[in-house]
Formats: sequence, C-alpha cells, structure tokens
Amino acid sequence: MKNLSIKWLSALSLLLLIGCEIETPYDGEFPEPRLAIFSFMRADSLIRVSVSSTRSIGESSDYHRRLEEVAGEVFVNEQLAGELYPRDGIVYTTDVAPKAGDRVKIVVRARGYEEAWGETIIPEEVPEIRVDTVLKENGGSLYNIRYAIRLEDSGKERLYYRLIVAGYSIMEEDGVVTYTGEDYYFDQDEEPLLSGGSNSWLDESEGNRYHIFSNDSFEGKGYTLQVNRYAFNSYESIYTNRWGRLIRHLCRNIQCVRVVRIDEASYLYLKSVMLADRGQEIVEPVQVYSNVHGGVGVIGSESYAEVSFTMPFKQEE
Amino acid sequence: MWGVFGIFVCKGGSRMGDVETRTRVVSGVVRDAVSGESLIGATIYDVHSRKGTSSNEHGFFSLTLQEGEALLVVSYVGYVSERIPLALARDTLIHVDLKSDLELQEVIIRGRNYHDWLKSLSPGQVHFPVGMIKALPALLGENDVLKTLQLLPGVKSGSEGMAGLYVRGGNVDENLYLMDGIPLYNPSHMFGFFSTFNPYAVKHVDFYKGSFPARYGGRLSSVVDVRMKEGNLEKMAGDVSVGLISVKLDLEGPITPGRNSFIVSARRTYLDFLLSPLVRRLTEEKDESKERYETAGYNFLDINAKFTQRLGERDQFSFTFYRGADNMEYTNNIIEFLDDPQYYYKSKSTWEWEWGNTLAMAEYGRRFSDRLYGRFLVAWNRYRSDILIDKNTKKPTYENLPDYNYSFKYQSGIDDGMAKLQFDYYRDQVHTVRMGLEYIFHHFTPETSRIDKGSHDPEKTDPPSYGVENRLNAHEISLYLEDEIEIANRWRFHPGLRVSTFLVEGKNYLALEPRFSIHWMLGENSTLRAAYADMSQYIHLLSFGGLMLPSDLWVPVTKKISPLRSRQLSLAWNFAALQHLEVTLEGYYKYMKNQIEYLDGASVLPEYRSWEEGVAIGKGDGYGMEFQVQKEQGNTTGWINYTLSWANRWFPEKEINYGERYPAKYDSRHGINVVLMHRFSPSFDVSAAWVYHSGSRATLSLERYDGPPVKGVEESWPVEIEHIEYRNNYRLPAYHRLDLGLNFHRHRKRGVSTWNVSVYNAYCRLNPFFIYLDDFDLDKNGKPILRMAALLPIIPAFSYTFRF
Repeated sequence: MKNLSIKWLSALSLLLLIGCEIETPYDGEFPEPRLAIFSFMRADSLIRVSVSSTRSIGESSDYHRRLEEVAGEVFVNEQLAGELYPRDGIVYTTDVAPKAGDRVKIVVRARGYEEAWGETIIPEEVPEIRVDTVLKENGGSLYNIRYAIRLEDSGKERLYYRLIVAGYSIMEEDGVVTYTGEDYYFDQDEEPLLSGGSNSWLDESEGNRYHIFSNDSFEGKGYTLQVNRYAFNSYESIYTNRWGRLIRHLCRNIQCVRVVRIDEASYLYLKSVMLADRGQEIVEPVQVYSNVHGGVGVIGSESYAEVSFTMPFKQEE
Repeated sequence: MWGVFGIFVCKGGSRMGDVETRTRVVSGVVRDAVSGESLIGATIYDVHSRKGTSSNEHGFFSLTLQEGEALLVVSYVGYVSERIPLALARDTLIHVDLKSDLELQEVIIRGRNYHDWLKSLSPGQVHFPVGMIKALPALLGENDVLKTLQLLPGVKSGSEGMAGLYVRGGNVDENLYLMDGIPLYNPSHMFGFFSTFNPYAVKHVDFYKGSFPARYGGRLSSVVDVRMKEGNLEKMAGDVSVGLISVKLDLEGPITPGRNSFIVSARRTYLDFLLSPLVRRLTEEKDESKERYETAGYNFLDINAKFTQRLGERDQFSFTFYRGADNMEYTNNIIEFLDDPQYYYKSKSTWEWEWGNTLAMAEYGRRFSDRLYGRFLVAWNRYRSDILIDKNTKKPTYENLPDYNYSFKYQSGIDDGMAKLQFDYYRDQVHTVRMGLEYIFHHFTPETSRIDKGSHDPEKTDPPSYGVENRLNAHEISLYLEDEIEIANRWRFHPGLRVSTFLVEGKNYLALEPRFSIHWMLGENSTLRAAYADMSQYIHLLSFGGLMLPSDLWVPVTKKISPLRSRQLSLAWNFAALQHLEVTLEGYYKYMKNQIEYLDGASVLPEYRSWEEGVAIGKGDGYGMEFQVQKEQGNTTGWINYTLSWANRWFPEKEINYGERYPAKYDSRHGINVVLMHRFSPSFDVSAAWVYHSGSRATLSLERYDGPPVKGVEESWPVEIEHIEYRNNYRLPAYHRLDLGLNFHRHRKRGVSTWNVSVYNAYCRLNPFFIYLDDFDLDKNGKPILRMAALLPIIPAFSYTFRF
C-alpha cells in the first residue's frame, strides 16, 4: 500500500510537470510573394540580372512560380540606359555596360508583383595586389604552390573582398581545344583572415566557403594573405593514334589568383548566406541580407585584380 | 549636478533658518507590538503641521516639528494606526508599537489613509505587504515574491511559469535583487519557476521600476529590495507548512527577551524522494546477463537564518546567513554478467549539478543622535554552479585491466566581498539626507573545468588530467548622496547623485548617475510626480532564451564591452477616488545603450570562450503608459492594471538587423492584471489573479527564395534562402491564465492552522513556452504547422500550514 501510494504520488508529480505540445496551423499572415532579383556587376561588362520569386515557407522548394510579363530597366546615374531582355530561364541581360563610378539602378516588374528595385555604385578602383609564389615539387607531376598575396590598403574606407584561387586546365590536340576544366579548391587553413582566427562571426570548424574578408584588421597598412594549393604541371606529348597519325597533345594548367573587391551589400549577403547555411540548431536565426526594395535579393558590384601563370611544362611521352 | 545639488541644500537651509530655534525633534523606532520586529516604511505624520516621514530599514524615524502641540499618526499597511498626542517642549524619543491587523485576517489591509499613501509615494516605488504574497494563488502552492511582482503594471514574466522580470522594456538580467541589501545573482529555483525568496522569512519588499533613489545602483531596470525578518523579540513563534512539492519550517524567538532574537527558516522540496524510486522502477531491466537501472532526482533548498542583538537604545547588531541551492542528480548503473558469474563488468555513471547562492552578512546599526542614523555592513556573497560527471567502469577481473575512472568537473560563479557604510541624516523640517559608500570586490569564475582520468589508453595522446581555468577580478566602488526636500507641504524634491567606478582588466569605468524627482501635491487627494534616473550596469548574464539555467554565466564588462547605461523619464499622477480606491497613471520613456544581444548565427548556449565575439552592442528603448486602480482596505482588496508599452532595440553598427530598429523579444503591447482577494470571514478567504499580455516575439522565417550560384568557389550551387524580414518578426499568441486560491483558517489552542488550495491556470490555457514552424508536415490546406510547447496546463495544489 505504501509503495502504491508513492507510485501514485510520483506519477502525479510527473504529470503535473510534463509539458504539452500544441499543434496548430499557422494563423498569421504569409507575406505576398515578392520578386527576388540579383545582379553583381562590374565596370565595362554587360549587366545580367536574375529574376525569380519568393515562395511561402510551406511551398515546396521544387516549386518555382512562373513569372509573367517580366520587364525591367537599367538606370545609370539616374538616366534610363537600357532594358532587361530574357536570356536563359531566370537570367535577363541588358546592353548596358556601366563605367567605374557609375550609380546603377535596376528596376524590375512582373505581373502580380510589386515593383522591386535596387542600386549600387560601380567601384572606381581595383585592388592593388602583388602575388609571390613558391612552387615545390610534391612527387611526380604534382606541385605544392604557396601563394603570398600582398594586398595594399589606402586606409580610406572599409573595404570588402573575395579571394579566388583557381586552376584552369585546357587540353588541346593539334591546336583544337578538346577539354577545359576549372578547380577552385585551395587550402586557407593557415590564413587567419579566411579561416576564422580573426573573423568573429566565423566558426573555425565551419569554414569560409566564399573566402570573403574585410580590411577591418589591416586598414591603412595592407596585408599579405598566405594560402596553398596543389596543381599539376603542364605537359606536351606526341603520340600516334590508331590510324598512325602523329598527334600533338597539349595540356596547359593555368593558375590564377583573383582578388575581388566586392561592395558591402555583396559581402553582407555572402556572409549571411554562409551563416544561415551552417546547419546548427541552437543559434540565433540568421537574417540574410537584402538591399532590394519591394522585393528581396542583392544588387551589388565588384572589381578585381588578377594574376595568372601557366604551370611549368614537362615533356611526356 | 553637484552644483545644483549644493544650491538645493543651501537654499532650503537658509529659508528655514529663522524657525530653526523653535523646532524640536521627535525620533524613535516603529515596531510590531507583538514580535518587537522593526517596521520598515511606516508613515509618521503630524496632523497639525502636516509634516511626515517614514521609518528606515531599521524602523528608525526622525521628524522635526515646531515646538508645541503635535498629533502624530503612525501607520503601516496591515497594522492599526496609532494616534499619539505630544506636547513638544524638548526633543523627544518615542518607540511606537503598532498592533497587527493580520492576526486573523491575512488579506485585510488597513490603517492607511489617502494622504499617507500620497505622501509616502516615491516615484516608481511599489510597496506591498508580504501578507498579500501569501494570500495570492501560487504555482504548485509555492507563494512567490517575484511572481507577485509580475502582477504589477510595467512588469512582464518571460516564458510561461518563469519568475524572471522584464521591466519596462529591459532584459531579465537588469534587475537588482537585494536580500537585506546584498545583491543576489540567482533569484530563482527550478530553472526559474520559483524565486529564492522564501515568503515566510520575508518581512518587507520594496520594488522600484522608475525613478531610483541614488542609494540603489548596478542594474538598469528595477530594484527588488527584500528585507528579511529579524525574529520575534518577545516569544517563540513559528510555523510548519507542507505543500505539494515542499515542506517549510520557520522558528523564531528571543534568546533574551527584548534584547535579542533569532529566526531560522528552511524550505526543501521533496520531489527527489518521489521521483528517484519512480525513475528506477521505470528504467529497471534485469535478466541473467544484465542488471540495469537509472535514478534521477531534483530538489531545492533554502535556509535563512538571522540573529539580531539590540545593544541598548542606540545600537543594533545582526548576523544573516542564507543558503539557497538547487540539486539535480542522475545515475546510470549497469552490471553485465559474463559466462562465469564471478566475472562481471560493472559501470556507474553519475551526473550531478548543484547551483545556488550563499550569503553571510554582519550589520551594525547605530543611532548617533536623534537626527543621524548609521549602518555599516560587511558581507560575503557567492553564486556557484557546479557540475560533476563521474564514470566508473570496473573491468572483468580476468582481463587483468585496470578500472577506468573518468570525472569531469565544471564550475562557474561569482564571489563578492562587500562593505557598505550608510547614513540617514534628518537635518530639519526640510531635508532628509542619505549618503553612503559601497565597495564590492568581485571574483568571477566564468568557467573552470577539469577532466581526470584514472586510467587511459597508453596509445592515445590525451593526458590523464587536464583543465581550463578562467578567473577574473573586478572592483566596484559607489558613492551616493541623496536629499529629500519638502517645501510648503506641497512640494517634495528628491535630488541624488551616485558615482560609481568599476575596475576590470586594467580598465576603469566611471559613471555619474544623477537622479531627480519632483512630487507635487495637487490637493488632498491628488499628486503629480516626475522623475529622472540615470543608471549603470557592469555585469551581464549570458543565458539561454530567458530560462534561468545553471549554465547561465555572469560576466563583467570588459575592455571591449562597455557598461550598460540607461536614462529614464517618468511622469505619474496619483489620486484617490470613490471609496478606498487608489488610482495611478504613469508614463515613462527609457533609453538604454550598450545593450547586448546575440549576433545572427551565434550559439545562444552560454559559453565563456570568446563570448564577446558572439554578441553585439547596441541601443534600446522602452516607452509606455501604466494605469492601476488599487483597493487596499476592506474585505475586498486587490487591483486592476493595464500597461501599454513598446520595447525596441537597434544596433547602429549594423551587426544585427542591419542597423534597423526591431522589437525586443519581450516587447508586449498590452498587459492586464486583475488581482482580487475577498475575506468572507476570519476563517475563509479567496483570491484570484487573471493575467493577460500580448505574446512575446520570436524570429520566424515565413518565405523562401533561391540565391544565385556563387562563382569562383567549389560549392557553386544555388542556395535556398529562408528569408527573415526582421529580427523578432513574429508575435506569439497572447498569454493569459487565471489562478484561484482558497484559504481556510482554523484557530486552535496552540495556534492557527491554514489549508490552502490553489489552482494555477484554472481554465488550462496552453500558453506557448516556445514555438517553431514545421514546414515538413503541412496541414490540409497546405499551410505549415505552428508547433508550440506549453509547459504548465491546469495545476491544482494544496498546502497545510500551522502557525504557532
């Protein structure tokens, strides 16, 4: 009897403290679908704009609203400079190539949607860089390339960057290109500016997959980024095909370092996308940046400096 | 500010100089007639001259009156007023013993007239009798000081059932909880469901949410000044109470009657005694090859002890001790028998978590003259959270392997050593000056942890023992001066200045905190008050979602994180209406800077390592209007109040919400509290409290879109973006609940017994504790489902108390 009483009392205590989960249809309003527009433009290049739509949280990610009667204009320095033309799916192009320093405004409309617009200023300056490389053979045809990328900084303002370290492979047979490939992997673990050591928002374990950084820590002083990458040598070979013809086979491995100066909007967008995509549950929700009025998305701009070289040739039989 | 303050003093003094020679001082102590306990905040009022004052923390008062006839009315909420005629020919010392009106009438509050009420008001100050706390219905029958404060206008609870306070747009860590003048860091038990103040040991509660007197500092939003009982000076008394989850025992009395007293109050929950065997029974597995069971328990404990010694008419010494602790324990026991029964594999894992406050204080009070009263106290105060995870594995003997022991110890907390010196100087008919000096030595232990391994795999490189130790010291010094200036019976000015300095990591922060209030009696039944207060705060709480978890970390300001500051302006109109109704209408605006919020994507689980990296420093404001009608006399008492408020945050450096203003998490537009108590007879009373407020806010993503592929990177595919328009964009459903309570009192030969029956959340409103949108499982209309977890459905409770 005593045991039974204890059990009942215990059960009662538990019941009183147990919570309930309530399931209720979302009773608030969902925002009306809006236009999502993206454009990252640079000087002397034609402007391309992607135009799509938002969807409610309950709609499948496979579902894309079909936009009808999409139209848009490009204004450069507040003057109408051109219109949007459909190109491929959600991508629209223009015949406008803005100049450095231009203020560019993109306005987009579609039937049933509020007009959306955003604007940016094309950067006047390109990054000032110097790239030193150390090539070290790593056995066979593989090289370890250590880059020291010196980025100067005038200290005039807060600037934002992306680093792209790429390798392009181009294969030719008797002067005809038969294959091109690109590879953007590089090792940034030893570079604190990219790996999280000096980026307060960046979790070291998550990585900085868009390789973005700011001049926050080196404003007015400049900085040398150090990253590594593996690459194969270029080679040329001559072989006889099955018809007995001599073929000259050429493989050029081109290595490229590109420092892209991006505007603040692009930086905030890329940073917030990376944070939102980390997949951690118990974190403060991430608000992905948008500078589009009447819709979502980013109208951004960039300029870049690039250094490239071809990997040394080795003759192969 | 010093200049302005000086002018006030000089002008007041010179104006009254010509009548100085004809004034006499009436001073003394106001006490409970039965227990001899001093009464804090009693009103002493001369009907002829219409001058008045109130008693201080030791019951002392001093009133300067003109020579001749005087009629003092001494009143205190819950006591019968005393009228004392005096023929003042010399300075007079009197001790006033008031008779409690609560002997048999727990709920009835009498003995105060409108004029007392209007005169005694300090802007932003709320005082309510402890009897009210005991009379109101309570969660699981546990009467609670902080839950009662949540029923006041401008005050909001956080999540369902929590004892935390969100006052006028402030955060939960911006409230100063004082126990006999010493700050308590953890004011709650059971993850915030109950407060640490055992109402049976509480004598007096003052609550400030607007203009703060200069003697208070260190937090932005409110002050909860709780004074504990000193103990009965005349006879032994006490009570025993058994509730649904706890037992309480209070014993008080004199060692030498009239000279000294003691009080010991203890409260302990007994959930662990019930839960542990139940968990063991539910988890027990036993067969030929294995025995396994788990145990789990939780309890909390409060012990308040105080010894008070009166040293003649002038001096008083007291020693106070408090220990409040929560304990959780879990064990997992496994025995696996091998083929031969004498060989077995035995493992025991233990997880213990203990957290709480310990406080020890010695206080000396002295009446230096009939105008000057001084207090000096030294105290030691500790908040600590300890985790011990212990794993012991005994290997089968024939394997000839050593036992494996693993233990993880984690500790965080604060140790404060403090000293305070305070003086109350009743200068003349015009000025009452308070001044003081405080020093606090803070020793922060945000995180120390140690792992010990009794045996380790030699092939691994981990050392057998290693640990992390973070410790930090800080010094806080405060100096304050305040004056209460009464002019022509209609005007009262209350200027004050607090100067505080905080030294940490070699950096010294200095703050000048001016305080000012004006009190204008518009007539017999009406008063207008305006107040300004400047506050600073030097420590922050890193916590998870408003819950009060033992993993919460108190951290000081740093070189990078500056002190929180606030400025608050309030304007109030009080008037007496109809019969026995006290009406208050108050508006406020509060501006806050150096507010701390977690950055987007930052882990919201408290962590000391690089905590500064996960937060942003911004600004906030709160503004609104509060309206309350209160009835404190008669058989039916209670109040109805309404709050209309806004609370916002913004981060000019754009770290959060890209610099745009957004509503604070606990921004609540409307709040209504209705509290009613009715005494049907001396043996039976009922109470009810209905709470309504607009829901808190949460951040939900309500739309999605696809971002374009990012070129030049390995992962260049389009990203699906869950768009959030702004932080805290969704308002949760409104919170409301009704609590009911019944008290049956029976007079017995040796005391009074009381049965209390209460129902928390009587109509079983399932208020959301947290919510999330489930977009994987749509409803029949294709809409996502909002899932809400509600913690506390209808909860009946009872308790039995015998008071002797």
